[in-house]
Formats: sequence, structure tokens, C-alpha cells
Amino acid sequence: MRIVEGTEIVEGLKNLFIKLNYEPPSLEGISFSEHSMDSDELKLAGILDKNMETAKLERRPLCQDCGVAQVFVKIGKFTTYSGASTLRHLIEKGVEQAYETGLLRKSTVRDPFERINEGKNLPAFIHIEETSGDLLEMWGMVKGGGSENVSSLKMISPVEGREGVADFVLETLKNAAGKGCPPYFVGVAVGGTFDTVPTYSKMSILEKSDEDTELKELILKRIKELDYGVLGFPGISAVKELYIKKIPTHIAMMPAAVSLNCHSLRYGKIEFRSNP
Amino acid sequence: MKFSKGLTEEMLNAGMVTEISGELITLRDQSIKKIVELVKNGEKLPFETKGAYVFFAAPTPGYTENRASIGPTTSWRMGKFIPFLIELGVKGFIGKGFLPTGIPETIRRNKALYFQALGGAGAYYGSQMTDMEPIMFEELGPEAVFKINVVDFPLIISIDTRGAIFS
Repeated sequence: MRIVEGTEIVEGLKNLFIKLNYEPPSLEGISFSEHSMDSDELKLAGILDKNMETAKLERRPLCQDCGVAQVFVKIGKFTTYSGASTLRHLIEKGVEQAYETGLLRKSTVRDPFERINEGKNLPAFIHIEETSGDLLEMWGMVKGGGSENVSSLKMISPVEGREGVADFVLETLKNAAGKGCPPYFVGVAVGGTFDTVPTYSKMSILEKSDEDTELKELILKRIKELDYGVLGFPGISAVKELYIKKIPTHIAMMPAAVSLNCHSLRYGKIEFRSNP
Repeated sequence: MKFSKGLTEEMLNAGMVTEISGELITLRDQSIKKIVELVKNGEKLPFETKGAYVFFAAPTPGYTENRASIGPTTSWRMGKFIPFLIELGVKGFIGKGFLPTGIPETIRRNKALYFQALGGAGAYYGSQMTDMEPIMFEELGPEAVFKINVVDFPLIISIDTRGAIFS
């Protein structure tokens, strides 16, 4: 058995969540300005490009909505950790420190009706998967409310096939329009179950999944049906990237989930090598 | 409020991008609810509402270090308070997205203005602020009321004083 120091996990996650809010690796090399845009759309896209630059240079969070903190964990079967009785404890310590010292807005409220903000941005939303080997890997994701509110899940009949999924993706994008801050990074997952498919739709983004060319082409061919571009105003750039993931499912089912992510796509990975 | 190219409020056309310079008051869900209560009880507000520009927003906490980000939140949720704010004399509203049915009419009738800010351009908008101070309900954190001063703050004109609408 190998052991990762708890303090290393706390420190690592703290630094990761700060980085995600200021200069996320997921936006490296991304520019929203495109030659085919008209001058109005280009002007707005230019401000989004400037926004990424300003966040980095002036150390201001990319977006005032610093999101909920999500963590996708893969832990090797020969790995454990010190410093706390559960991984959640270590992860949340890191997240809390990131939001406090990183001057980030805390947006998570404890009770969905009472809406009391305890000012820690906790709980973190965590998924854990066991893997072979001895690597501990964590993907952090910062997810804002605007784009999460326009994401969607549908139990589609298998007979509807790819056309049915394409209809659902387009319908989700039409309803979203400017509400979730496009250009969108779109994660589509098809298969699995009612509870797992949304998680896979987010994972498709982390993994940059490209698992069904036929569906991808069907959707991209119809993208021009969307009559909006940058931030929902007239234009061409409603979708920046489209990722597709397929999962085994039941003979009677074809669940599909569409995770919409705003132009401030914020995720990144940290790996911990355990001490022998 | 000053607009780019020396335009005045009456010269703005829906659909245009303009850059504004001047004072904004930030409001959103919780703070507006509390203000409604105060006004109902006849209390005086610590800012001039006549001619004011209201920004539906909730900033990040770094303003004392001049490192805050600020950006619009969805106006839809605040729509029902717009008639009340217009009655107090508010002239301009800044937010994100559509307004509920009937509210654009109210804005038109009163020759007020509605602007849309670019969602999520928080760092850029933050860099165009010259100062920011909490003036009410500091205990609400991001939902406190802030008085901010901005320079060349880019906005899309969504409802102009003649009632033309762009969305």
C-alpha cells in the first residue's frame, strides 16, 4: 500500500481551484474571435478574449460566479491517504482554503429553500472511482449557475436513434440561448441510467470525448438553426466545442444528457504520486 | 451617466454597443427584497434613486485589494421589482437576458433604459471599475448593495428611451 500525504492533497486542491478561477488550463490557447464573425459579434468576442487576459494579468477571477466546486476522483487500489478519515474531508479543506485565500465568490447555499450562505462554498460535489495501479488523480471543475441551469436530461426512446438525440441537443441549445453565456462547450452523453448520464456528460468534457462521428455531424449540420452567437446576441458562435460520450445501457432505454458550459470553461487535473 | 462618443440617453439606439462611465448601484434578489421593506416603512435609502443606474450583479470579494470581478446576473428574476424601482426614479437597468412579460412595456412607458452586460466577462468589467464600496447590507456578502464607479463599461442597449427593443 502506498500513502499520499493529506496535506499534499489539501494544498494541491487549494492551488488547483485558485488556478481554475484565474487561468484555467482548459482555456489555454482558446480564442473566441473568429474571422467569419460580423463586426458586432467580433466586438463581443474580443471582450471575452480580453477577459481571459485581464483575469491572468490583474489577478481578477474570470467570472464573478466562481461556481460550485466539483471534483472527479480516480484512486488506485494500492493507494490510500493520511491526515483524515475520508477523502471528502481533505478535498473540502482544500476547496474552502481556495475560495477564502483566492478571493473567490462563495455561491453554494446549504439548504435549497432557506438559502443560507455559510461562506465556504461547501459542500464540494464529488465523484469517486477506483482504478487499478497506485495513482491518485483529481479533476477539479468550477461550474457556474447560469450554464448549469440550462443543462438538460431526457429519457429518449431507443427507436429515435441519433436523430432523437440530435433533436434533444438542438432543443436544449435553443432553450438556453444567451442564458448560460455562450459560446458553449457542450458535453453530450448517451446511455447509462437516469442518475449516471449527467455525470458522464460532464466527464465527456474533461476527457474531450469524440465517440460518435455520425451523431456529431448530425448536430453540427444543424447548428445554424440556432439564431444566436456570442452571449446570445445575433451571430454564428453559439457552440465552441462539442463532445460526445457513449455508455452501455438497458435494452429499453436511451438516456441522454447535455451539459452546457459557459465561455469560462474551468477545469483541470492534479495527480498525486504516492510515497512508497 | 456618460456614454461613448458623447451620446446622450435620448440618442441611444437599441442594438448598439455603448460604453458607459459613471456611478452604478448593484442590486439583486436579497437586497432588493430588503429595500422594498425599507421603503414601505418610510425609511430613507443611502443613495440617490432619482436618475440612478442599477446593475443586477454580485461581485467577488477582492474589492479592497482592487482585484474584484463583477458581472451581470439574470435580469428575469429581478424583473418584478423594476416597476417599483422606476417609481423611485431609477433611470437605467443593467443585467443579463430577457425581462418578464409586461416589464419592457413599463420601461418603455417611463422612458427608462435597459442594457445587457456581457455575461461572465467579470474580470474585464472588474478592471473598468475605479472604485467600489458597500453601502447597505454588508452582511449579505456578494448580495450587499455596492456603489461602484465605472469607466468605459461596454454594454448592449436592449431597450432605448424611445421604446425600441433589441434582445
